[in-house]
Amino acid sequence: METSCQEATALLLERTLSVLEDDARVRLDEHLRICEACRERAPAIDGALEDWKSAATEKPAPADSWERIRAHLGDDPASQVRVVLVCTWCKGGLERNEAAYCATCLAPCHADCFATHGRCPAPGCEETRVVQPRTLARPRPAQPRPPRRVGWFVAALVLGTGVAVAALAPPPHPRRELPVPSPLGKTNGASVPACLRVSPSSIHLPEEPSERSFVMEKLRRAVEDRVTNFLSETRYRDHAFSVFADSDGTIAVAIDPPLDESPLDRLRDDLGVRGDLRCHFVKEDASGPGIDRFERGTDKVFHLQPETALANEDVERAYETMSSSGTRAIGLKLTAEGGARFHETTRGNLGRKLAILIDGQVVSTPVIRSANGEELVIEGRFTEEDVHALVGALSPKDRYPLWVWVQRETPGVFREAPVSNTDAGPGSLSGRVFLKAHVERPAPVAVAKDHEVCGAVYRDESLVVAEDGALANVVVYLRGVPTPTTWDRRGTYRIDQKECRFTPRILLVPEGEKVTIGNSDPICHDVKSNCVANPIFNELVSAGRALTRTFAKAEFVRLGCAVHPFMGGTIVVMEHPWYAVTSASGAFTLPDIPPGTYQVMAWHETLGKAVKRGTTVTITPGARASLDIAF
Amino acid sequence: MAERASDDRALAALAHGTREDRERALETLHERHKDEVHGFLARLLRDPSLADDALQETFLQLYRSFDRFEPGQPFRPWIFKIARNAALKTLRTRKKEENLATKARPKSGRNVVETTATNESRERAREALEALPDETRALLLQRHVLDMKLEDLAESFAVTERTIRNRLHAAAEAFAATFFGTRTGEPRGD
Repeated sequence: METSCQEATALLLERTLSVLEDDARVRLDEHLRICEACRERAPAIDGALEDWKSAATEKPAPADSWERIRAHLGDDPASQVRVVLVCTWCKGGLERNEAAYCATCLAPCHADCFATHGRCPAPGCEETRVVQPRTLARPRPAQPRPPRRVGWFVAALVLGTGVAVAALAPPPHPRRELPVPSPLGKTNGASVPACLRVSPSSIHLPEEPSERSFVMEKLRRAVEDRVTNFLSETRYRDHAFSVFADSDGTIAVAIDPPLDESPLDRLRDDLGVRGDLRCHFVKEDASGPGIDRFERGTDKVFHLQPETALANEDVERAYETMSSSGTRAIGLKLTAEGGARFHETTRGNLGRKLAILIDGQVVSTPVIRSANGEELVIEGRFTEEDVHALVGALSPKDRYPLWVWVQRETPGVFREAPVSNTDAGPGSLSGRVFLKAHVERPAPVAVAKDHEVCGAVYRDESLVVAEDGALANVVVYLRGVPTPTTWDRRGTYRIDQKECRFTPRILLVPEGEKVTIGNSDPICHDVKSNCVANPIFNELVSAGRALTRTFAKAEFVRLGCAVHPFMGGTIVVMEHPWYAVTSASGAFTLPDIPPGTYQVMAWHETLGKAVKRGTTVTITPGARASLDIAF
Repeated sequence: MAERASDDRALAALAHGTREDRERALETLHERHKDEVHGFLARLLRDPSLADDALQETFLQLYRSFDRFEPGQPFRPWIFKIARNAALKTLRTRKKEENLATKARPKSGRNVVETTATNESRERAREALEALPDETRALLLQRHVLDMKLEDLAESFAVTERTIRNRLHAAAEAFAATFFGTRTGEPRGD
């Protein structure tokens, strides 16, 4: 295509701005070779831009610029932030010390306005009781703090809607006495329905027993008020709770029925306490002592070194940030001392995985690429809510006078993982998969082209059920099992396209192994992949040719053909060897499973998962477990 | 690098400090960046006195928007975003006033004279640059005069790098069209 002088001029400007694409560069060079006018225009355009540049630097800012700005800082509304309260009933101004708040919705009112109206004036609120804030007496702080912090603390008490303490009326929340939670450090008994433990760091607690119990009681009440408010403001108002203070400096919150992780995070943030942060390196082999921890939200287990590489006291500040790839991440600013120590530790461990645990659960396992002593960015699959909650959980708080953190011991939320023990020999699991639900069988498909290869009518094999209901092509696997260190992945992994069918229909491939996708038909196929963790592709494979691909991450990769839309296949990329595909008789066998308790999953390409979170199966050493699964 | 770290400190003070801290931080940032910002504004507004006002507006806006600052965010894209918006606002207001004043007068046509001498074509190129829409000029200024990376431009315009590339291509096309006198309408933004 001929390039006009006008186009060439545009390209000349792009070249000066260094945004010229490669193909455009070729076109420009071609044009400049034949067009003298454009060759002469090139320096003119550069010159015009240079004039622009030099003119811009000629004019410095006026000398009085700062004085002018400063003079206006006073009118800036942001520098005079003052929250004004207005009575919800009479709309008149309200001084903080005379404000009364609705016990349910915390709408502010004059106390006599509330009395005149008889109930809360906020629309939709029928509450007849009010609460009024009172400043909690501060326990004596162990260290003198700068006056600003005191200001913050008082401000937080007055401004924070939740700290309004019931003074005129009994607390609005129904109370039910719950059993006393077990003390920290002892094994958690089943008697505690749910439990947050607030344990003030001992260095800030007074040594003298009576003084100590006084401080603890104050803290206990503060925690109780917060929990009351939290539960009554949220949809958990029917939950019963108890708050206990132990002489060992622990405050335990028992909530029944137990809360899930996310509301617990919010409550913890509300309580102004800090999550327990630990970082350990992930062990590369099974030898020597180690600890096992679950990943947050999944059943994946990590084997970690027992030494702590980083903990709460090394973190100065936590903040929300973005990772280099643009995903949500949590940034930690380290203290000088903690940073130096972390730098020292990581320098010797470059290229290894560091597991970051919050409250005993692994949230992220980044690979340490460089030793950095100032900041640590935690990347993970976080939702926005997660990031808020975790940043809240990790930020040092000054809302409460005591430095506290929470240890979560809720059964079901945090569990010790089974410690891997393979001494007694592996077990195995076998069984059959059946279709019990009534599912319409797929109808044969009329073929529009390539009849001679695909046949005039195509038999859809996306659901293959035997006469007795046995279901073929179901992937049965163990959920959340880490990749074993000894795993012989060698093998030939080939999926063929023959008579317009992927053969086998389901191929199991270990992570990182080469897969050949062949075409034995005398016609073209266009293989397209549908996956998330691995790169997608869409490539033409002509007759007798093949293409090879490597899938780095465990995932179910669905295959299709753009030419023949009725074709379908699946490549299952496995992170561990305990995967099996059911045969035509619906049978499967998972051999050599280390003893332990597992979640067994069953997946079918059109029916999905048999049980959403899997079926629990315990494998005992050397024994054969059996399991029948029904869809 | 050291300047970047010191900017970050000042920004942290601006975001979280007391009033005195915030004023001091603003003064530091002003001292360090005022000339560059002023040069940019003067070029974009083509008027030093308007630039003085816009500079003031820029830093006041920076002071006010401290709560939108995210730690770790680079400073340059941010300050030039504020400066650009302040300048474009001024230009829009001025255009509106001018339109009201000159509504009765017919628009003067632009004659393009064919010339070959280099300095004349340089003059023409400069005119063509000046005739571009204000938003486009702001983009070209940020790219060429301020030497900003595509990554920083994307941050500053709150779009992707690909979009910035497309806008720069569109700007170059608009420039060429103006240069040859064939430009008909406003170029598309992206």
